Amino acid sequence: MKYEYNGNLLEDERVELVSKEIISKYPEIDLEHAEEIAMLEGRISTDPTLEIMFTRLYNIMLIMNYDKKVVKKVYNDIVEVLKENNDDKKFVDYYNVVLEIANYLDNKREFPFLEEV
Amino acid sequence: MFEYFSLDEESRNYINKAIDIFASIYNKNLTIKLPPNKVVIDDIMYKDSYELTVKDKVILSLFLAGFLIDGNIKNIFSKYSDVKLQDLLDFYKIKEDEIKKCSNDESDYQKVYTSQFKPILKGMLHIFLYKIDMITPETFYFLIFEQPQTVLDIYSILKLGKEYMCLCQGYNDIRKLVNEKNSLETFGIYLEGKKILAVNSTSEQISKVYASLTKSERDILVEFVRSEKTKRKNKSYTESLDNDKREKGKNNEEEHLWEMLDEIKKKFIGQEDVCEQLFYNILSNQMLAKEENVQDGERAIIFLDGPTGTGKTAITREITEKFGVPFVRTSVTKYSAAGYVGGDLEDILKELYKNSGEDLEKAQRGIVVLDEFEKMTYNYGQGSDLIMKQSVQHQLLDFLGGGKYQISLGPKSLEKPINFDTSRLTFICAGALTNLRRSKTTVKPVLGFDAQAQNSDIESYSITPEDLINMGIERELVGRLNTYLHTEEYSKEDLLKILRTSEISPIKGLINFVSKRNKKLVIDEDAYEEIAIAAYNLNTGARSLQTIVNSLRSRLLKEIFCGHEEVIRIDSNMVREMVKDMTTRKVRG
Repeated sequence: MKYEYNGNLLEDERVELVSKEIISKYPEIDLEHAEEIAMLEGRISTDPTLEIMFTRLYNIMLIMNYDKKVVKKVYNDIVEVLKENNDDKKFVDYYNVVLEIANYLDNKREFPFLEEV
Repeated sequence: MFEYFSLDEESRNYINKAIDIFASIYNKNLTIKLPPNKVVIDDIMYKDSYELTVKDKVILSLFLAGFLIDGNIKNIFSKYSDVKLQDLLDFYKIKEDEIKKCSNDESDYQKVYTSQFKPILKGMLHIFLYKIDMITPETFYFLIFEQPQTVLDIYSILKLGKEYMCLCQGYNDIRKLVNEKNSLETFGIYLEGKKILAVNSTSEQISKVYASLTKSERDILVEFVRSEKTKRKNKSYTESLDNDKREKGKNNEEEHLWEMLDEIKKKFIGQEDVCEQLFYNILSNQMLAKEENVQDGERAIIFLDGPTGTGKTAITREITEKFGVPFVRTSVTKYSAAGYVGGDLEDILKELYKNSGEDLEKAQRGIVVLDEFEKMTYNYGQGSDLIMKQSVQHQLLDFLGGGKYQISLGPKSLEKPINFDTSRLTFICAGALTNLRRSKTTVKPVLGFDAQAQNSDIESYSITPEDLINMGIERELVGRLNTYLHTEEYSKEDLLKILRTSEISPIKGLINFVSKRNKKLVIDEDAYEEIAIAAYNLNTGARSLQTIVNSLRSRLLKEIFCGHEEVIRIDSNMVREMVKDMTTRKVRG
C-alpha cells in the first residue's frame, strides 16, 4: 500500500488521498468507510514507519470489524508487515495486539481496542 | 503474477485456464502458472484459503473479454480446440443470474458478453484514458505478461461518487508502452476494427451511430468525446492565455501569486518568513527556467536547514504543488556514486519525469529535495563510509551544477534514452544541522509559555559557507549552494497556535471522526495547552503534536465506539495522565 506524504494537505485533501490509497489496496472497502478510516489516521510526514503502517491497518480492521472477511485479509497483511519489521522497538506491543485480533477472528473475543492490550 | 498468497482450487483453475487460452492464441509456450499454495509458516497467519472476490471475477472476465472484443468467439475455439464454451461461461460467476439464463448456446453467450461486459470494458477504456481502439488482444497480452506487477491494479475500477478512479501503479509507463503498441495516428472511435466516429462528432451523430448500442454505452462514448473536446479546447485556451498574458493578465497573475503566498503562510504558522523566502526563490527559478541563456549561478540552489518537524518538506511540497511543478523528495543516504549500493542519482530524474506525466520540458523545471543532507557531511557518523560520501558529493557536484544525463525508463530494447538537462531544476538540500545550530545559539530549554527569550536568540542564528565546509562538505559543493534558508524551531506558543488554529492541525481529523460517529468532541482550553507543552517536550517539532493526538485518539477509541455519552471531553488531567503513561512506557521500553 502507498503511504504517500500528506503532511502539507488540508484535512479534506488528506482524507481523500488516504481513502484512495486504502481502496486501491482493499477494493472491497467502500468510500464512506475508507474516509472514516482515513480520518482516524494521523498525518504522514516521514517515510512510512512500522507505526504508520500498523496504525493504518489496525484502523481498517477496527472500522471494518463487522466484516470478518475483510479483517482476515488485512490481518494477514499486518502480520506480513510485522514480520518485515521484527526489529522495531514497538514490535512486541503490536504483536500482542495482533494476537488479540487473531482471538477475535477465532470468535474468542470482541475486536480489541489498543488501549486494552 | 497474482499476488494472492493462497488461492482456493477453483480460483486457481480459473486463472490458469485464462492463461492457457491466451497462450494458445499467441502460440506462446508460456510456463507461467500460479505457484502452488504457499505453505503458511507463520503460526499466527490466518489459515484461510483465498476465494476470488467479485472484483477478481470481474477482472478475470475482463481479461477474457479483452481478447473477445474483436467480437468473434469462434476464433478462439478454432485455435484452441480444448477450450469448451463451458470453460468460458465458468468465468461468468460474477453474473450468475444472467448466466443461468444462458444455454450453452454460443449466441446466448455472445448476448451476455455484448450487453454486460462490453459496456464495462468500454467504461474501463474511458476511465484509463486509453483510446477506445487501444484495447486489443495485443494490449491485454502486453499488460498481463509484460507488466506483471501492475496487471491487477490496472483493472481495478472503483466508483467514487460520480468519479471513477484509476488505480494503476506505474500508469505512465504502461500508457507509454501501450501507445507504442497501438497506432494512434488515426484518432477516433473504433468498433470491431472499423472507424465509425471521428473525435469531433456531435452527440447526435454518436447517438445515431450507436443506435444499436445500450444507453450506458452511448453515455460513455458521448462523455468520452466530450472530454477529448474539452481537453483540446482547454489546450487552445491555455495557449491563447499565454500569448495575451504579458499584455492583459500580468496584474491578475501578480495578485494570484500574492494570494498563493498568503495561503501558504497561513498554513505554516511560525514559519512565515521561510515560506516567503522559499516561495520567491522557487518562483524566480521557475521564471529563469523558461528563459534561454541563463548565467551560471543565477539559479538558486537552496540549502534549507531546520530542526526535525518544522516543515522543511511540507512547505516545499506545498509551494511546489501551488506552482504545479513536478516534485521529488529523496534522502541522499539512499544513493551511492556507482549505484551499486542503494540507488543511483539518475533515479531521481526518472521519478521526476514520471511525476511530470512524461513531459520532459516540465520535468526539467521540477524541484528536487535532497533530504538528510547533513548525513553526507564527513563529520557525521563514524566515518567508515567516508569514501562513499566523497564519491556521492562529487556526483552531486555535477548533478547540482547542471549536468546532462541520459536516462532509460524501461527495458533497453523498448526505450530510447531521454536526454535530461538538470541545469533548470530547482534543488533544495534539506538537513537538520543540529550541532551547528546549538553551537551558534545559546538557547536553553525554558519551561512554560515563556518563549520570547528563545526566539530572540534563534533569530540571530545563520549559517555561513565556512560552517558547511567545516562540517565536511566539499568546498566546490558548498560553492554551488548559493541560498541559505532555515526553518524556525517551534515555541510552545507556536505549537498551541498550530493545534488550535492551523488549517493542518492534527486535531482536526479526530474532531471530524468523532462527529462522523454522531458524537461531539469538546477540548478544554487548558487541555490544548497541556497538549502543546507535552508536544514541545517531545522535541520533534509539529510532529510531536501528531504523536500526542495519536495517543489521545487511542485512549478515546473505546469511548467513541462503545461509550454512551454523546459528548466526549478532553481535559487537562486526561492529557497529563496520558503523557505520564507515555513516559512510563518509554522508560519500561
